[in-house]
Amino acid sequence: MLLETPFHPRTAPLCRSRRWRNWSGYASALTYEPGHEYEYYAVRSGAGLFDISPLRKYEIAGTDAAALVDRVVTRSAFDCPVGMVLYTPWCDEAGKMIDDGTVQRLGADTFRVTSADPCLRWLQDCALGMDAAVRDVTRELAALALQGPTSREILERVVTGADVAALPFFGLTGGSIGVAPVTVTRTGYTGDLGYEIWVRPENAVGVWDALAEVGRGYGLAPAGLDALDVARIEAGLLLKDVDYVSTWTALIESRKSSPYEAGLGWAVQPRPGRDFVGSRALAREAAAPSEWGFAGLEVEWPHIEKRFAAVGLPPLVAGRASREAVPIYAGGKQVGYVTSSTFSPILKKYIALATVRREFARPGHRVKFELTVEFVRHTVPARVVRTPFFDPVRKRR
Amino acid sequence: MTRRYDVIVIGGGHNGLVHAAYLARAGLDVCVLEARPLVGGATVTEEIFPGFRYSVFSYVVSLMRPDIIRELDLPRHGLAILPLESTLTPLPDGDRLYRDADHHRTWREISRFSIRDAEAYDDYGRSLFYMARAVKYLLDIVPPDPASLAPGDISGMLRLGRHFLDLEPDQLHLLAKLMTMSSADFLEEWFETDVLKATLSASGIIGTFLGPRSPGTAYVLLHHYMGEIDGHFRAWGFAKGGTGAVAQAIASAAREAGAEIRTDAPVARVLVQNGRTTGVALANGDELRAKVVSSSLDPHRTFLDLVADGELPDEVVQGMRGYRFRGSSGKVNLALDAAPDFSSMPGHGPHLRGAVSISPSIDYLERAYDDAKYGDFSREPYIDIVIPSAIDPGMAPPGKHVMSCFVQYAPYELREGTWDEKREAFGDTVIDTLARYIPNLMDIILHSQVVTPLDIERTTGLSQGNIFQGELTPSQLFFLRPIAGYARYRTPVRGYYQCGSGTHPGGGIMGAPGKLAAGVVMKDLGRGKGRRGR
Amino acid sequence: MKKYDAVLVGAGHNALATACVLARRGWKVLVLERRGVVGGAAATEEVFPGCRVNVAAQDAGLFRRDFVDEFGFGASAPGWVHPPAVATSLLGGGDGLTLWRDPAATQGEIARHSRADANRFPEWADYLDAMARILRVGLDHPAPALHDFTRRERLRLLRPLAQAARLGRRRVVELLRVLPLPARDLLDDWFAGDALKGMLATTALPGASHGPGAMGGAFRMLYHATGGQAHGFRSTSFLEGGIGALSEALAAAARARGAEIRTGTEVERILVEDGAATGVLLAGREEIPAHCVVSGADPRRTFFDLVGAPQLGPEFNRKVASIQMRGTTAILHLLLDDLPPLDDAEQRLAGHTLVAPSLDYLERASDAAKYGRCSPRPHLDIVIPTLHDPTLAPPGRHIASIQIRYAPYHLRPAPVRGPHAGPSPPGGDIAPGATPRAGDIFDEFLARTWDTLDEFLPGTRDRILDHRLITPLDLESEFGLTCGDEYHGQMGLDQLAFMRPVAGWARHRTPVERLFLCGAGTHPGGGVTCMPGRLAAREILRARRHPARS
Repeated sequence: MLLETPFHPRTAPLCRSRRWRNWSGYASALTYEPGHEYEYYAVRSGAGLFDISPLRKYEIAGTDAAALVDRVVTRSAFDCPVGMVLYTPWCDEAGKMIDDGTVQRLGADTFRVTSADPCLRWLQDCALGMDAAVRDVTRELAALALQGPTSREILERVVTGADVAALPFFGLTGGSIGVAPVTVTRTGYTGDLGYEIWVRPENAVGVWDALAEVGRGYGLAPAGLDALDVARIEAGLLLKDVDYVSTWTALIESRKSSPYEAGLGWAVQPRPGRDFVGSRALAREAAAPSEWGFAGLEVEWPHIEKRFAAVGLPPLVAGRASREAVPIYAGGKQVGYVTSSTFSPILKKYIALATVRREFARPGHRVKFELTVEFVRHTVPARVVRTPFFDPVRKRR
Repeated sequence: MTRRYDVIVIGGGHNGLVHAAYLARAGLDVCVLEARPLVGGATVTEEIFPGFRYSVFSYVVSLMRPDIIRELDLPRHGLAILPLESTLTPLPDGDRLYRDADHHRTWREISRFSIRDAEAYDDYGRSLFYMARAVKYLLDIVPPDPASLAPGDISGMLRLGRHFLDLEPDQLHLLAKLMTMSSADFLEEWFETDVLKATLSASGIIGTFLGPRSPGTAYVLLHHYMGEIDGHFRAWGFAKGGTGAVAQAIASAAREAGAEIRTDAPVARVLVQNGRTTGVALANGDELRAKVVSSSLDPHRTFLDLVADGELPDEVVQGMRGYRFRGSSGKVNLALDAAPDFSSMPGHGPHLRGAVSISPSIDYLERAYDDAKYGDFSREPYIDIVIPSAIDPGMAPPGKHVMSCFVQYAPYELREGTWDEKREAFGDTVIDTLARYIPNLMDIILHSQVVTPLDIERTTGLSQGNIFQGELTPSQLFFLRPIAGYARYRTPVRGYYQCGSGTHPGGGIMGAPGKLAAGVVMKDLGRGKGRRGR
Repeated sequence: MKKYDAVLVGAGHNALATACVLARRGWKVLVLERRGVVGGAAATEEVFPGCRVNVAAQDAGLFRRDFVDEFGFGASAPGWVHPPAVATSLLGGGDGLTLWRDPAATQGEIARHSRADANRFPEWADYLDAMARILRVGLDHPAPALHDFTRRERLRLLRPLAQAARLGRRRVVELLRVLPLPARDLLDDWFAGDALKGMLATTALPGASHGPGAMGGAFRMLYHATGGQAHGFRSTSFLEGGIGALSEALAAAARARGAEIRTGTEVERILVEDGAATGVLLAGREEIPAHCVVSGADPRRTFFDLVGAPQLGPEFNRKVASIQMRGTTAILHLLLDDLPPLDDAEQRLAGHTLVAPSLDYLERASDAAKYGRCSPRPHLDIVIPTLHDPTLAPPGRHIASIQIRYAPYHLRPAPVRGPHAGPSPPGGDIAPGATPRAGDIFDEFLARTWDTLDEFLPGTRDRILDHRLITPLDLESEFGLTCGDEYHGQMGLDQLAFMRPVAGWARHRTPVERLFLCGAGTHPGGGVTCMPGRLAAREILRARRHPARS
């Protein structure tokens, strides 16, 4: 039995496709329209409104709150000023990723952490001996992601008591929408200009209505997980248990990934005297890198077209994002596997996130991507490129 | 003229039948002798009350080794295992803990008590997966004798050592804890919610004469998690047609392979000449000759009852006397006019297709044990309930139900009175306890069958009514089961073998002892397939 | 400022043993003790005016005499006392059963109860010693590092394995069978007499909160016999001057080799920099730098209080948090103006005097602890040290120190700390809803103890001049024993060898470099053995030679 999010009274009638997915036990729309294209383009040209309430949310408070966050995550929490947000992975003592999410610094001694899966026990156990109380506020906070080029204008018209226009990339501010107090963060999972709005569940519907009302003039559309999946691959963002497996669910050692292996090496911020969970293992890995690395791939589209044309078909891969693991070859040997791939409607390219042997992870390398056409396996050339694949200036400006 | 068999198997329980089936498949002339009119031992379905079919003793299946199911082609012989997915633990105050295959729902249900525990529950499940994977290896080997210098034993010990030392250190350590801790303490490392700890720890006390706080019970907990169905660890199932269908399927496979199965044929003793068996004598005086005799009865019967003391070394007789049974459980089988209505989960629902566990707190279970420790049955017992008719409609007339209640503790040895005197009081205690959670129970009972440990012993021959043919404690496991030096299915009498649950890897509807023993017999007879015996 | 090679936290007997061995190797050693005397729980102090009392530990039977040379006691070696009685079980009504050092006398005593038991007893005594000898091989060697089972590590295991095998391969298998057995099962296999079984089962009780029916009891029986000469009971011996004489001798031996011992000096924190111990911070804010720090405190106190959980990984902390620490013993010291009235008291009461008339008596006493309550009819283990050394008390006076089980530290519902609020409610019942006070609970427990004493050793109470009760809560506050656990962690099979103090860290090392543990919380475990301290010293010396290897 799936639960309903606080926005369900609004999302349910809008979900004409009746396509729902189980997201952490909540019914979450895959698409609202029968297909996701319109919703995707809303994100890239107007604004998409996503219900992201099923995210896990934790509040950390106490004089050691910053020390606790700094101990848990790989990025340095002390470097996050009040009113800013960090995206960061966190690891076990062996330096293998547990989860990734955002850390919002609400105050000097108050943080809010979001994660894909439950993490309370871990956070509390890390807090042993510290003055930092960790509370699960998942059900006390509903959340919306408003993503797309017009999201700023919409918010400016809706939010009072905060200067949304001045909010920097990964900034955070309090404000109100109507009578409802909200937290607005300039974050998102689409790689576009976008915001996330955090609100108490009893005010959720009012906030939705206010955004929908104003958004009508700005190309706002409710958007589901299918559109989000395409957007996040374009943005080169990882999805837990798809692009990497949490050390808690991996069952076997070889399925675990370190941040370095997952392309998040930039988020590991060691410093003399800084001791975070996994830091010693990660320092060892930094000195003697793993044989695995992360790569963004651009698959040569003309080759895909050609393979399909040979059997008289149009390229049937276009459309939805795929989470199916696909082997990657080089020199006739398998050197890795794609974890997520999609046709990018905005780039008109077929792109993929992959785990490959380290020597193939550097941009410019050429590899082969396995493509199955009419039950026959082929390979088509692909090139390792930098991620994000799509990185509009408006995202940061 | 007496017929001469290659192998006589004493006892037609599931292990005896598995044993016979493997030997018959190897081309041996096999005869199974079962004392009762029907095969199965404690694995039987009987229509005690017209229209209602009870799995009289053993009631769920999961430990049955998949390779046995596959090799004996049991599905073709009628075996079908239906899933048993949920567990409901009702609480006296009308609340409950309900767990089923819906991960998120279970998460929410546990998080009503503790969010930490809901998270820990996944971690716990993974840990037991690792443990089950680690010990699965043991289920398929004949235990080496650590005191022996025979090359086979030394290499067996080395292989064993390597297997465990190849585990991840954390897993090795967890395994060491599991072998030694109490189930309550083991669970304490994950959970804070009493009812969750209690209902999980209940798997650790089943079939033992120990409370959840007694060290050693964590292993039994694992023993119940070692089951595999269709490649998934720790899945529990219910055999279509009741537990007896398992024995029937194995018997059918054995017969097809050429084994002869004789019922109503109790064996009085094993014939021994010059330290070697020559056959058996039946209770009716008939003698049957065989090269090999395998007993699937429990170790006391196998060593002390069937064979004259003089045929065994003193230390074996001594060791056997120290082997412990301590039957601690009984059954109450109920025929119901309608579905039971649980106050904590009223009406029909998927919970009726799962297990219901009366285990509201650790203290509750511990107190139940305390009663038994001093020689009385528990005033408020632990009860494990399944309602087979909710899963398999063939078990009762339409709209009516059979309810199987496994009850603990019911000590075989009572301080006062006899089980024949106390049977009724015991049944009443169980029904009164159940009625606290099932308000309509009294109105819907059509018939009840109360099975005390004494009844288990009388009917199935299991000494002291122990369902595992001897306690599953570390002192009676692996190369110590049943006793040191005789854990490799052989006995001091040449040609006489053991193949019951009293040998490694122990009780439950597993079949592994029967199969492993068959490997040893074949090896000794010079028939291939001995390699499985290693 | 002079820098020490090793600073030891706490001057319990194990830390002193470590200090002795290190100082003999020329290490500059400083031992810091919070209390005014050395010895920790193995100390003899003035509890009543003019009387020196063994405050907690009584028996030195597990201390191995071959250590006397190893630690370099020289002239400071204490005098050993082996009273003629090993133990006397009080059976009520003036009846008793005494096990003597003289086997014939013991057999005679037992024969009064059961001829068959008497006949089997010598065989039992041999069996107990034989099994204990094999077990001792395991205690004498470092715990195997199964988490890092290198070739070198495997080779290190060969010696103890060979030693054990020499004692008999079948016997080793028998030991494996016996170790997990409940005391009850082991004794049921040997004897019929309930009095004898109850008495012998008492040796399975210290170190665990379980009764004789719980598995692992046989291990503790054997453990308590590893000092040798168990006489079918346990290794037992006493010291002139009390148990503190051993600690004093260890301290003297260490000082003779240049170790400094500062009493009345409390360590507030163990200083850690970049994952390595650098010294200690005293309560007076003085910092003492050192090459390495060795903690004799129990593991949880060491890691959580002295190092601080945030300095350690969460996964490690989980392990430390789940170490079972469960004090269930209270200690009652009595000042008597005469011995308890019993025939031949001077002889019979010179060993362990027990209230343990049957296995069920012990089982029922332990039942209470399972539910977080004190035993209504407790088990008593009485030692009268003035029978071993009359100078401990003024002439004519006697001291009786009683270990009382079960008085669980973990009371349920959790009481308010502190003394009782006023007169105890009748019957010790706590009004529903009211939070009980620990003081009230222990007052009630003391009353039950007096009842028990009256029942089994009548007339004793008339001779009591003064008494002092030490509860598990006091053991924690006074001696720093977390949860009042005298063994620094339960001696169950799950907390032994490579699992002690926590899995993966059984070699006295810790996740903090140059921080070592040497207390009873490490392999091989508790009791006045000095064995953990001795093995720790070896490991510390080895670590200096090979810092990388564990």
